[in-house]
Amino acid sequence: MTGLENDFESGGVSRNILSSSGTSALANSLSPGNSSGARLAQAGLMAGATGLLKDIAGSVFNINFQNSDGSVIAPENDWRVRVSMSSQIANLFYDNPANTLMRPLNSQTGTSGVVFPYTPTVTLSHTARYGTQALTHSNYNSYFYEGSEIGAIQINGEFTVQNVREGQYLMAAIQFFRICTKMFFGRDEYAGSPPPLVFLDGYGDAYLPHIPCVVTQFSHTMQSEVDYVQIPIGVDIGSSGELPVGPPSPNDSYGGIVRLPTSSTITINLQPVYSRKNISENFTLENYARGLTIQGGNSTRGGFI
Amino acid sequence: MAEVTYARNSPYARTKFYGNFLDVAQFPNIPKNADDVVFEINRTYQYRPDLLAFDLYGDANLWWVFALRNPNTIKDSIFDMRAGTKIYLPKKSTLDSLLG
Repeated sequence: MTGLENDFESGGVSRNILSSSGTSALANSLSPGNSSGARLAQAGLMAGATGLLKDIAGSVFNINFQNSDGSVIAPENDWRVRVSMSSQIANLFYDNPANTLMRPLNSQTGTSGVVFPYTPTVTLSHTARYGTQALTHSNYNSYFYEGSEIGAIQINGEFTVQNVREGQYLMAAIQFFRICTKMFFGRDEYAGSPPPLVFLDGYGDAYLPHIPCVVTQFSHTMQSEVDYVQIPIGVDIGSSGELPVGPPSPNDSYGGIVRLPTSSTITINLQPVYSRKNISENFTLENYARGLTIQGGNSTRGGFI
Repeated sequence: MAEVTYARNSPYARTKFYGNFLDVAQFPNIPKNADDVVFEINRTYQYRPDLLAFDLYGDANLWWVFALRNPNTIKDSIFDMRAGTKIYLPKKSTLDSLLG
């Protein structure tokens, strides 16, 4: 009876796993060197039977920013740095239903322009320009005010590609900035028009108040020491983000496979531009100081920084 | 004679003794939660509920929970675990609260 007793006891005493935390068990099982983790990954399972791996695909970074209750924050209420177009121009590009390539940026189903998923480095500069006059027989120069200007806004942001959804988003963002450095040309309906104007938002209206800008420079740095993953572009993916569910229709835009770096950097220079009408009708220094020129980013008097 | 004690991760942990014998088996009633994961058994886990339990819960002694969670699918705890069979997997948190 003693031997039987020991057999029964050994089952519970030797492996008292039930009390271990689920988090550590999950971390252990997902570690690359863990044979359990490898078997579970092959089966598409997560430790603790908490879900399937495909259930978390596409949710690695939170493109559609969510409130604590799970509801999606409207793009206009999102504090992250966003570069967008006016609705008329967006209808030609990312709001065009036939443009599957840029669908992740769609105003209704996407992020309404390009959102930087990780906090980017943003540099703004305000300059007052003075001319100097070196007077004869004087110890000091005289300075004469010439004008003020806002320098180009430099934004440097990182993008990661850990699943199909993120890959499609990066490709859409690249396409967006490519467009912003090209004019309407040839057989375009708006041939002869300059590159589209973009609007910069972020960190609340008081800081980046829907600033009208032109893109003067765009660069995408793909490093050599990162992995590249194969991403289907221009195809819809399932709600869980795991697999392409169908090719684009013949009338849609490009559909194909690209290889994108798992980590890369996008750098853009945005030059704020204000129309003469906007400046002459809306700008006073007093109103500017009171913040009245930044109220309502979409209003005609908004956007001054 | 010392009293036999079954570990809490044993299917007989709740079964009482009648003298020197086990009474009628009282197996834990594993709740059927709506969000339990459906898993199609692959070749790795075919006939290996112990391996599946070890990988999922870190305890091979919980091999019996799959049969109790899927009574209509798994009659034989081992040989009904055939590849291609779809079963529900109870969550570790469920087992934690159930087995203590």
